[in-house]
Amino acid sequence: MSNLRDKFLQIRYNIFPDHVLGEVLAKRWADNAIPFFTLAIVAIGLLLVLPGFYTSYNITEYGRQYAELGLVVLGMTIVMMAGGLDLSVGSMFAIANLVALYCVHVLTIDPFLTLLLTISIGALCGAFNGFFIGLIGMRAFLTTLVTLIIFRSVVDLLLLEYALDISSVFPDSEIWDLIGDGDSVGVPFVLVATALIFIFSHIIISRMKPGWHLTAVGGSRRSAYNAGIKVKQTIFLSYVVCGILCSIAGFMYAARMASTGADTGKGLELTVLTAAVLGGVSLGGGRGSVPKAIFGSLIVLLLLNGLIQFGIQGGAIQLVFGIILLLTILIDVRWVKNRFRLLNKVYVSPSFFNLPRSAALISEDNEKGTKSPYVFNNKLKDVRVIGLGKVEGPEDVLLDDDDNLYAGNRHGDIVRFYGKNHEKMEVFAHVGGHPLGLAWDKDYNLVTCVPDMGVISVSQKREVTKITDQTNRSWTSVIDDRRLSLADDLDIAPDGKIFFSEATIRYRLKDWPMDCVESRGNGRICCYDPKTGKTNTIIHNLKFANGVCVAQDSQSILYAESFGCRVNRYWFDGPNKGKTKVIMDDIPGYPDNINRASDGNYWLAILGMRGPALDLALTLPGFRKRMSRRINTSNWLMPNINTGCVVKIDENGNVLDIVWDLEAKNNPMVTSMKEHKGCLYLGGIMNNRISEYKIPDADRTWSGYADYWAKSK
Amino acid sequence: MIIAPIKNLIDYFFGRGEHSVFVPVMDGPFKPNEFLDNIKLFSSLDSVDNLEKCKTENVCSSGKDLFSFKAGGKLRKVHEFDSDITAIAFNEERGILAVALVTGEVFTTPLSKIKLNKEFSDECITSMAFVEDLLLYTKGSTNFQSSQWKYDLMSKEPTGSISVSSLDGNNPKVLASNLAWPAGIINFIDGQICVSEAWEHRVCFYKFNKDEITLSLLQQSLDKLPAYPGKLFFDLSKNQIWVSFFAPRNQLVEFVLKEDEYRNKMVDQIPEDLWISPTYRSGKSMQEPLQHSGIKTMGYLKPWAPAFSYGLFVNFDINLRALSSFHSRTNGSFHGTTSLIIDEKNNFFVSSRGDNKIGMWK
Repeated sequence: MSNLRDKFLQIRYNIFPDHVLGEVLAKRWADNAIPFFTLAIVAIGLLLVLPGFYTSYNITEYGRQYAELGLVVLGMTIVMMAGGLDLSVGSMFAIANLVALYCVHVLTIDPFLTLLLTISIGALCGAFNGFFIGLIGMRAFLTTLVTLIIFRSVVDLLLLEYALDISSVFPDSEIWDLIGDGDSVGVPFVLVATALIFIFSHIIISRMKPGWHLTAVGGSRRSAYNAGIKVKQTIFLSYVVCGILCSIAGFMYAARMASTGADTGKGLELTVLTAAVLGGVSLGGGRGSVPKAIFGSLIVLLLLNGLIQFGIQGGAIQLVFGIILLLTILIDVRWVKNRFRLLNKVYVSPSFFNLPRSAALISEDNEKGTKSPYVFNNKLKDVRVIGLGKVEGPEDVLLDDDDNLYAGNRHGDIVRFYGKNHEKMEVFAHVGGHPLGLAWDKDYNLVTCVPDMGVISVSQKREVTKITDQTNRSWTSVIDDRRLSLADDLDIAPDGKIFFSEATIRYRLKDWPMDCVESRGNGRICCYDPKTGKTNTIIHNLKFANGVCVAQDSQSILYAESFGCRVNRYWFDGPNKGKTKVIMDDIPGYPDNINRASDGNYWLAILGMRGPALDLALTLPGFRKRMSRRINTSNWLMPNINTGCVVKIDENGNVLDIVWDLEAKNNPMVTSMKEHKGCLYLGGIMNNRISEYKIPDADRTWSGYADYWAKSK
Repeated sequence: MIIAPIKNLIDYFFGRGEHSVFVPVMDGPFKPNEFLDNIKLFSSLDSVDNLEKCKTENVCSSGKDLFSFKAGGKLRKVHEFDSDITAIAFNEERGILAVALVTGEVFTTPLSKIKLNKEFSDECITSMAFVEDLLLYTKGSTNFQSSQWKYDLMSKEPTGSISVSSLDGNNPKVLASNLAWPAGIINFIDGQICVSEAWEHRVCFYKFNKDEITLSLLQQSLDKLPAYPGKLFFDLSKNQIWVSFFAPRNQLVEFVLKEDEYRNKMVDQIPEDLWISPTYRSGKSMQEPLQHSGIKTMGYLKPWAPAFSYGLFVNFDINLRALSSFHSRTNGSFHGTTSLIIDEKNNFFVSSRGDNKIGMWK
């Protein structure tokens, strides 16, 4: 029964991709998801309800309408992104329509010249708005409400004068007709023009300075001003652009309809505003994009035509749009307010994980019965403490042949303790991130894994160079896993290949214990090949990939999975090439770094001990999920990493020796250790000291660099 | 009708309403300090508990042993019982000491010369108080022994009660029942009874009617306390009630109390010391659960980290308004504060069951 339930939990939490929801929400384009789905629902709904909705003739017709509507919505979007609002779009549209008709019909000017003239008039109208709102600082709502009436009155006055002249003439211009109803394989030319404008605007808005200024001004005027952005000009220009886009739309409308009706563009502002807000453009400014305008206007266009085909009259359509606008604003406000709260609630997505039974922990004087190599002792009690209070967060340590001791710290430096007594410390190099794993390459460059930065090399001349910061993108990952986010430990093979682990792709360094709450297997092992300069992910889905060590056979690596409580071996060369084998799966704690020992074996740091309370929680993903939602992060159940130890293992995972610091005074959490000339140097990522432990009967001449590189020299 | 389940679903998702996990913050008079870590050590004593003020001497328990002590002196072993002592009360007028054992037996004896007299037997006696010749006592639970208080907390069944015995061979009478682990009782002003109800995190007042032998709950009570209240002490000279809080409330524990499946499995499968549960002293084993902020950083355990054990005494006036508090925080060394007394000369004696010591200050 319990096995069946476990199986169910396993399927529910390990196969069903909960984690994707959080990852999608974390994406910038998540904002577009709701408009996109609304569009899909509307489009499919109309297909089902109105069978004749999508005839090829209709689609071409919608295309023409869309070319016009889309441009006006784009104009509105740009104004809204800068934090404004333009209610006069309909009137400007009407003016442009009238101007274009008058030029072509009455004055018989060339259509291209007419376009330029219309655009100029539109720009002028926009500039009128922009002057009062941007430069004088009047309210956008009131100003554009007034200009809506003014522009409309101008149109009405001019219509009285010229309506008859316009409608009595039929222009004889082939280009004008092509603009009006020309198409190629059903795609209207105007739609192509609009598409080009969309692409152009998208590049400017999302990739270039004017667009960034626009968003900055809309997001926070004061900050934008303080950052040196010309706020007034930006707002002014946004209205000008809006005017221009409306006039182009009006020009297209003129060519298509040749209508001098008094209600041209009437009520357009409501439609356009609905479209922009439906697309996800924020009324508060700072949030908007061309795709949002595209989605929004498509939804509105389809709705509009759908409603007309249902036989709903003009006034009722306005009512429907008004209601939709209201609802959308409501949803938009809630979404903007709660998006990141929602993200925080759903990001952690625990999986089912049943850890195998661990070996027992036994005290020295109580060895009867249980057989286990994990015997308590207090050998680390009398270590020599190095750099107490001077070094913060030495995750790993490294020694050169002159006995200088190197370590990373959380300030983003590699520090060096001099010579025999290690009392004097200097900053060897500033890297910028918290250096974790350290290793020498053949040329005595210090190679280190730095979270958020990748693999970094520091030469003896203290030059910091990047080796790699990305690997290959996997196809199924929503998160862009090309970037290395939590590079952890590394080791270098004789041919210069760098094998390194990335603990998790879903969390940053400060949140690393959260990956245990998830226990999903977000880590990986990557390999950088100096011959090609490329990095590839070689092992996926590891539960917090941590220590990596090239084995003595130079054909395989040993690597630890901290929250999987196991150590594995992977062969990258030789007869077993490509094979993986679990060599330890009963560790009573969480393994961390692995490094070579002088006698041909390996030191393995164990950063903390497994506890039954957490082991049980790992089999109950729902419990952990609710925990992550209900209680404050500082209260979460975490692995007990306040007491650790170091074990010596052989390449088959047999434990040969063990040293503890039971009082956990100097080494509460051991994340790494390096042997050097008979001593073991211990580091801890949350510690403020390095410890030196004299290993009894160890080779007093052995050093790491020589062991790796002296033979090959 | 329709809204309620939807609201429940939303609450479930966001952890609001009845799905919220809430622990009151230590604020105002409860503002943390390190007072208890800096007091004088009177004596070390394994599993010390039940400090009780007698006339000129004081007594305390350590497992099966009864000790007596006074300021300036040393601990003196008075008697060894057959099983662990769980509660002690002293009748000042008659000079009689009542001692309850984990087996449920209650003995009385004159303090000057030990002569045990078995009075009656009940279960799980957590505290006792005399009202003239009557002995009032609290029963933590009907399902568990007093040493199994963690089991009782995890069972979430309020089965505790307040009873009275006239110490004349008759059966005790139950006065109030269905209480959530009543852990302390005092008679502070003529028939006014104060009882701490640990799992409800509150201290309540009762009126004891001696003639009819009934107990009535008074309006006044103090709830939403940030820790589990245990034994009580009344300071007659200042009219103050002292409450010993034996363990802190913890958000993770409160969460586990809402998670039936996890809690049941935990109680079934895991040794008691390694539970997610309040305790007298946490951090003893490297296999204990740990919370995020409890990770040692730069060689230092943060005092504000959430804890499973804590040290806290608070004094209240007789209207149950908190006056001041005395703490040993997460990184402190005076946890599991089970009892407090103030002797004639205004010496304070406090017991730390978690750290096995008696501290004192004046």
